[in-house]
Amino acid sequence: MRHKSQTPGIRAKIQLMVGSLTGLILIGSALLFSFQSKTMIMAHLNRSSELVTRAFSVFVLDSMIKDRNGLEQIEDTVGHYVLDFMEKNPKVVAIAVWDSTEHLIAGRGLEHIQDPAYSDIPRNAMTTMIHRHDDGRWVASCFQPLKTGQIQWGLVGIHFAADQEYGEVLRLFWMTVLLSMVVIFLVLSVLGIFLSRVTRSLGILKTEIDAFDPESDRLLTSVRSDDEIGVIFHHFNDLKKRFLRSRQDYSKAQKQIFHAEKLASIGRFASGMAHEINNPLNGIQSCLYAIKQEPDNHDQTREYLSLATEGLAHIEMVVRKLLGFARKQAPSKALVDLRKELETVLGLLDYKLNKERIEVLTEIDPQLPLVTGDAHLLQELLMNLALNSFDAICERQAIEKAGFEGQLRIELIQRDQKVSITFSDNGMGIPEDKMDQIFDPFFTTKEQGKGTGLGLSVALGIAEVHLGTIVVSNLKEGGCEFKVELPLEDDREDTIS
Amino acid sequence: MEYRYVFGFAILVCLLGLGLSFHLVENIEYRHSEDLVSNNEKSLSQEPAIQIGVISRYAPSRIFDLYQPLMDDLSVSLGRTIQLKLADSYHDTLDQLTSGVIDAAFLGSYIYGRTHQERGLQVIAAPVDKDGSSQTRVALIVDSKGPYQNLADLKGKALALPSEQSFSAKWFRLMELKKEGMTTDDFQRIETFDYHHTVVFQVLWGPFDAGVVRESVAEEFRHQGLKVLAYSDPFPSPPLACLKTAPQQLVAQLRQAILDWNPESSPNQARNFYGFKTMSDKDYSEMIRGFSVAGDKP
Repeated sequence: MRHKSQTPGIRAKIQLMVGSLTGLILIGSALLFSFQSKTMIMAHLNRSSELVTRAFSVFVLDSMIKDRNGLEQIEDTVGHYVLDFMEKNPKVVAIAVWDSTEHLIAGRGLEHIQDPAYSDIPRNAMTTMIHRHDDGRWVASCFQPLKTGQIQWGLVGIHFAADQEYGEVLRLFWMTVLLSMVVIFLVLSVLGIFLSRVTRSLGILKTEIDAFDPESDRLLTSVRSDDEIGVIFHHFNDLKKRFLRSRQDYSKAQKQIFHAEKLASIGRFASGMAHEINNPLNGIQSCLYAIKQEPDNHDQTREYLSLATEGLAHIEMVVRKLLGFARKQAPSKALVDLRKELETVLGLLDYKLNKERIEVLTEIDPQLPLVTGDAHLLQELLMNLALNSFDAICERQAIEKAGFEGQLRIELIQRDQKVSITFSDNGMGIPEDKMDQIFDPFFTTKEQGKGTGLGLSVALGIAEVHLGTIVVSNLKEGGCEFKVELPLEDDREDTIS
Repeated sequence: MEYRYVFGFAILVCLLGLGLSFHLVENIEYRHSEDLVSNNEKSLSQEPAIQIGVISRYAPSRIFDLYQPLMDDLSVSLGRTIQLKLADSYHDTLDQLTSGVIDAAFLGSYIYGRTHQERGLQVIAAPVDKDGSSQTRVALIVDSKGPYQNLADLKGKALALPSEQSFSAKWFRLMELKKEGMTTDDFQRIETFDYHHTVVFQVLWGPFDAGVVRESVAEEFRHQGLKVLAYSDPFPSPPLACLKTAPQQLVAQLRQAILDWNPESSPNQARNFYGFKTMSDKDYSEMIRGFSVAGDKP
């Protein structure tokens, strides 16, 4: 039977897990790198803008001090300096210089930036900021208070274009993401190639297990691998060898048990058989005595020889039955007529049943189909069940004495695609607490010496060999019922051995 | 475990992570403020501010960076505003002082020594170095990567000097050259610049091979490629001076405040001075006498 897996295979699981884990780690690392890069780029931008603003502020402060000391006009010097500075520094998009009265001394390019409210800028702190203009451009601004000691001279604000740094941050981000994707793809590809090599051996193992034949001596194809897969192959082959050996031992033991139980059964009805043989022998002896007394009485001699011949034929028939039951034959597979086998069994038990005055009622389907199996094993199955019922009835008879009439009902019919054989007796029945044990080997409820405890176990073994079942149940009116079901059409070629 | 769920979950996490990360990466908005020295809230009297001049040995912003915290501390001590007043040259500051435009001035050592008698000046105090000495030196500097090992190597080279009225210029022209038997003609050219720092920049990054600046300025740039070929003898630190006719109460208050000033307890973090001490005119007269002997004329 082939099993189609509903969950991903080992290869898919490993790829999923490793891929997911690698993906998370790489994406996490990439993002960390992106954040770190962003921090570095922004820090560099801020540091540069701070340094440029500080340098610019020195000149402005000099001019302011000179202006306050009447040494020069700040509007002239700073104005020119702002123009010159912006021309030489293309990244500078705007410059503003305020004095301590918040009067704009010099300003250029302010219309191109969304200048943060001047009132928001702390007068006592160097302030750097990066913000987005309305038109989408990024601007880095740096405000340097012009202060010496407790004197507040004014404020310088320089605004730098930050679009290049913004683009660099985004470029690094997407590069790291792309690189991560490529690495994940490569990792999964390499992993896939590696796993396909590993799982190829597993695939061979799966194919070999699917093709496993318990009857065949063929071992698994050798795998040229010293890894775990190779070890599994070797262990599986060892397991198969042990299985075949065990199966052979079991089969051999089962046959021995079947035959031993058969011989035990013979022993149980041997006294009846002896009586069957003894009666005709007495008749033959009487006939021979009469012939010896009157050798010239030809009519009598003819009549008695006929009776003796009839008696010998009866003996021959009994012995043939006995030999037929007791013969140990190799298991065979053939079409078996269960009606005939049941008739043989009842013939062997006829004396015992009559002696104990057990009424046998049979209900046999005249159209009962033949079953495939071993005739001798099936005959033994019927014998064991019959003897089991006989013993149960005898046990009850011993308890209830006179007035009890033993009865054995045997039904042999076809039900669906099975042949159903039912032995119902009105014997002692089976205690419910023993019901689970009656098919166990050597389990018996009979007195010591009266049973081997193998009868029902053997019967179940034979039924199972024929892919059949035995179901036992107690009857409401007393006694119990054994129902054997044997399949009609099956593929049991390999089961009977 | 349903592996397809794991895979789906991983894909979902990746997509969400990408989306969120793009949003966070794409937004580069930033704002940071770094506080400067906080404003002193102590109220000062409404009296007219005390005007203190500083000779223009440094750029204006540099002078204010150096002196304004000290002025702020002194303002707090006196309870009265002190303002710095700059001039274009050493002599302009001297003129402002003698004309009463300013109440006191940080003058150069040479110009004080040379003019204090003529202009009727007196020393209020002079700064000390970290060892507590009220003397300083000037240094002959060159680019440390250059080949010059002594003054003689500078023959035919370009030399940068600060103001001609500075001790640095006088010392080099009158004393150091003579000591080596050289004259100004031994140089390709000698130019003067307004500020000591400008001299340094001209030596480090400009066309000049050597220069003379105050020792403190040379030390400031020692690790940026300056090498000192020679030092002057120690001379009195540049003083804070005023007219002898200045209001004695103001002079006394100012002197007391500046002598009491301690950089460790400066409310305005004035770390550019180590303290001040009193000086006598004699200290500066001795120095000028040496220059006169060397041929210097008023």
